[in-house]
Amino acid sequence: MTSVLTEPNATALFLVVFGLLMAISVVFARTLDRVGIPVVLVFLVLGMLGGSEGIGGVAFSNYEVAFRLGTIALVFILFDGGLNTSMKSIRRSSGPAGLLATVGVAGTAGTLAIIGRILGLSWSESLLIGAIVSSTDAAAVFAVLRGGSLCVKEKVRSTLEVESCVNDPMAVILTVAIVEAVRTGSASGGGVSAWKLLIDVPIQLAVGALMGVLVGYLTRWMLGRTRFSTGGLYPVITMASAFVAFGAATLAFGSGFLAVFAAGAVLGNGPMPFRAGLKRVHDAVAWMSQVSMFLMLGLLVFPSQLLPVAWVGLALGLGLAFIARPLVSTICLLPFGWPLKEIGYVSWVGIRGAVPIILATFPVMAQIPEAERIFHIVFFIVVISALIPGASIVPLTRRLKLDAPEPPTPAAALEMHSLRPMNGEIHFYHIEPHVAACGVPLSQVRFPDGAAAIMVVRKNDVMAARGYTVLEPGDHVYVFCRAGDEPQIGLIMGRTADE
Amino acid sequence: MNLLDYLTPHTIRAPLTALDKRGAIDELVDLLTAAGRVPDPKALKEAVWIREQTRTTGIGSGLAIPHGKCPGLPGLIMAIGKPARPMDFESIDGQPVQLIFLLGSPPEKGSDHIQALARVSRLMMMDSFRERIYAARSTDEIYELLKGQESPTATTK
Repeated sequence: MTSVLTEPNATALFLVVFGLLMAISVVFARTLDRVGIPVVLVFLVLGMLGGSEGIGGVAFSNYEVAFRLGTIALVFILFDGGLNTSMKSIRRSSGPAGLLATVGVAGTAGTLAIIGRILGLSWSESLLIGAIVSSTDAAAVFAVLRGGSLCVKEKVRSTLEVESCVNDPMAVILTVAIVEAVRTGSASGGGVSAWKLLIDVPIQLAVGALMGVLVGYLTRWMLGRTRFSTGGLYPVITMASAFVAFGAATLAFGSGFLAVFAAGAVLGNGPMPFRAGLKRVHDAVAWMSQVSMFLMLGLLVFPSQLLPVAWVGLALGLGLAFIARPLVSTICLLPFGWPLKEIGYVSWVGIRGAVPIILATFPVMAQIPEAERIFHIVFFIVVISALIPGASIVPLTRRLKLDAPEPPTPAAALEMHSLRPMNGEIHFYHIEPHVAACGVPLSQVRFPDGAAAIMVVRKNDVMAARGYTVLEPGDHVYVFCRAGDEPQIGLIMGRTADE
Repeated sequence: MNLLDYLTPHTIRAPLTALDKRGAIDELVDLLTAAGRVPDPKALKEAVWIREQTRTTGIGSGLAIPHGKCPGLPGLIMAIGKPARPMDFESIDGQPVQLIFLLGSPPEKGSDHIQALARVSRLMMMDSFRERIYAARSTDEIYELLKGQESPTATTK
């Protein structure tokens, strides 16, 4: 088909098909979401259809390119994760999430390797697969926990989210170490230079975190100081910051992925010009990255090579979901005295995603025998781990009563676009019947000095906030206040809907 | 608003026997019930707890102000409890709380309710006062501190 077409028609055709497929899948995203099928899987199927053995006939088997594109995509995803993670969540869940992201990842990798060995794989294969799929996926977890119809209780949600953002470095370190050991032939048994890892891991994490925080603060300083001719240049700076954080940390023998997350978190939690706009850009870029990554995985997979590994892949996928993840996260969370149902929930929602795809290219690039077979097994594990928890998460959350009803989105929104960091912020509150401010005229609400209600959205009406306006359940109230005064306002107004 | 109109040594307890958030709320409601201020303690406990679920009232710096609207209350009621040890309240700054003000009012007294909340949170914003009241060890000590701050003779800052 493509041989008949010459450029620019070939590109034009590709763009038409790709664009239409993208639009169609996004349109159906809501339906899929309700059924519990992660949208990203659609792109996986699209990629397979478009691949050399599908109808598209696109021959793509360049693992180096896949690695590079995948890394860039992951940088965007993790940076966006950092931007959207509040310091409060990080602080609150640092203990459990930190343990899950380090000991948990290593434990999952080890347990899965044992399962692999029992299934008849060699030690090197088992260890590689274990390490490759050992981390949960930031984008998938975010999409599931924050996507449309569900709002999970804060503690559980932030633990899962922070875990998913900080556990990739560990998986990368493990995979690189095992690939290296297998390549040099020193991994005959389970002792993959464990001592070296014990020293390497903390160093890489520390360097990564430090570098990320540094780049984050530098970017914040720069954004606050420099004036650009057009607003469109601001996201260019933040994206540049994500790249530099990753690159510099990696070159300094640190974890680049942790650095990117840290840089994003520093920026997201501080004053930032064009905050709302910047966040939206990064949100879109992260989605785009996620979509491209799964599309690429689909292209890289050869359906004919899937069949021979189907059974072992399926068994490992189930082993990960039902044995390895639950076992390890229970051990990690028990010391924190969590209720069993919350531990069970965290165990279940260990969704894998983009990272294994990138990591699975490592052995291929290192020319390890059987690497392509490993790649196809990883494919199964990712699909199963996205399908099983994905499909069950909504009913499970309701059954365990771990959902916190999300305030509805107001019919109108107010945002402050400030060119330079300001000492003021706008919050919006969803008035629930039992908060103190409900049923009280605004003139009676004692705001801290320098704060005021500015707008009330009631159903489909937008109203100026006047003294005589009596707040009703279901109202959305926009309040302007100085940084730091929010807790006092939240005490009487309840939950902000903008967290 | 003078907090002493609503607080007596009978509605202050230091230290609390409860060790967790829910227990502390129940204990303070029981304290108010014993003082004859709450006709239906179960309903008030429930109201405060439901409000607490919306968003934590642990507003940071070691302070929590759980509150609720409950039909049948005679008017604004208030109690203070000091946890035996700093207590986890799922506060917004993640810090354990050192003092708990519990407030309740009937639904029609919404504006008293809101004024009291504002008064308490402003009072506790004063660093020197906050430090002193957190250091207080007994019910009387807490009451005396409030008296020093709230009595009409003391010059209001």
